[in-house]
Amino acid sequence: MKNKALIYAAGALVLLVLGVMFLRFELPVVSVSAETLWTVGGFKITNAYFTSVVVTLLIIIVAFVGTRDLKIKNPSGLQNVLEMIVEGLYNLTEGVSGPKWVARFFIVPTTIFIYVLMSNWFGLLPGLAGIGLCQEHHVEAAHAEEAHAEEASHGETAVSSTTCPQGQVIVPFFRSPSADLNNTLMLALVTQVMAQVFGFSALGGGYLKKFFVFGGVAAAFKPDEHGNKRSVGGMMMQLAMGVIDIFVGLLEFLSEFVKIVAFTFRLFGNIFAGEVMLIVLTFLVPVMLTLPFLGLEVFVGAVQAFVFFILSIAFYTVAVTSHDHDEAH
Amino acid sequence: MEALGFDFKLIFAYFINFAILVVALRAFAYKPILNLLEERKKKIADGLDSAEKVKEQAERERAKFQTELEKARLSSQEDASKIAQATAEMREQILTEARKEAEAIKERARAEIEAERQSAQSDLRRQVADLTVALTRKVVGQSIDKKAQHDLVGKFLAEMGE
Repeated sequence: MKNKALIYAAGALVLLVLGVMFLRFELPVVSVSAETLWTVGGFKITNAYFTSVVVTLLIIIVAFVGTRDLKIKNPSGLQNVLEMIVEGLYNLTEGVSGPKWVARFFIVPTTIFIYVLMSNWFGLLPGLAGIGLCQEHHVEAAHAEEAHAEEASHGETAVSSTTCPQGQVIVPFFRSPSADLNNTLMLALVTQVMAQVFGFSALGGGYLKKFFVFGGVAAAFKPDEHGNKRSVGGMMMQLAMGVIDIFVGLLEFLSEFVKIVAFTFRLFGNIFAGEVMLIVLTFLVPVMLTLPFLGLEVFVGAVQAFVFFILSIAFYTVAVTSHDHDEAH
Repeated sequence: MEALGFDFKLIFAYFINFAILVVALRAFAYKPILNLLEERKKKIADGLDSAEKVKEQAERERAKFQTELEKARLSSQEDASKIAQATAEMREQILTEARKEAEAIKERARAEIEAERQSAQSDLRRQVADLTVALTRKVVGQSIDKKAQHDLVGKFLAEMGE
């Protein structure tokens, strides 16, 4: 038992050293925006968008194949998995939103969960970073000069190990859509727009009362709840409370927009940072060291997908809950 | 914004992509699977219901059977006791009859014996008389006639019989 562990450890160490000695490669270009693969009629197909299409098709194919022959009794492997996912997320949604809204709430966030999860994990598939097109390395002028200066100072180490010609870099075909702000912004917008739609459909015009609260101020000029005329002090007090209410409402209004930004950058930041970390680690120590971090990123990818899902549900639930109703409780 | 790669066309393209995914998943995954789950839930509930019903039915049958069995046991017990009683009566009757018969047989035997004894006695008496006559004749000779002799013997025997 102990011997075996020792052999494994020694093997890992040897791999690690050999990797550092022989598998060094150039640090790939890290780009915040997704790189363009092809331009079709003025539309830039980026690698992230390309991956998004691939992921979407894969999900649809799996869903189609998995539900083609649904069985009530003794369901088989893929059906079990799909059932588990759908049922689990449905029940989770029901737990947060209650039975009244679950059928409407659950569709978009569940799709987001599956899509984001698959996007995150697709970006982690080993080896995909090395498959792509050779393109001119064009970064913004300022950055380019910096890079050039750096290259000059470490001239002898910058030996290209890729098959691309000198001056070109590999632009991989695949990049996780979650590492593209366009995609995460789209998801955030969809979620937030849906939240407003749900809010209006549940509360009607009353939904706006959450954000534009003038009731408190207006109450200052009316008799109090017992029907007595307010004293000057009472009126000032009520006026102050009303003004606070207005500000709170405006903050909530603002927060609806902040949520979009938060959604966008939370997902993007986590996934993009994870991928950059993996790339840099691979650059430093090509073999073995990245494995625990790969596992970590798998976990992070799942957590981020789940966070997007559960926050959407929570925001929807908040949106359809009336404020007056809340205070009555 | 440009450095972050925002591009409205791309955002729109992503949206189309996502919308297709939503529609497809709704059609291929959510609806059929949720329907299936609902159906399965209903089926399980039905199954449990019918099992409950069958159990109830069985319980009822069992109770019915139990009472029937009880009834049968009671009636059989009654029968048995009746038979036992009849048997006892019959036994008693047979015994009485037998006793009576035995009594009758005994009575008859006694009468027979008595008759036998009577006849034997009279036989004996006659023989003794004859013998005595013979003896006397031997001793006395032929002097006494038969008639006187018989009277004599009869007298003697009557005295002796006392």
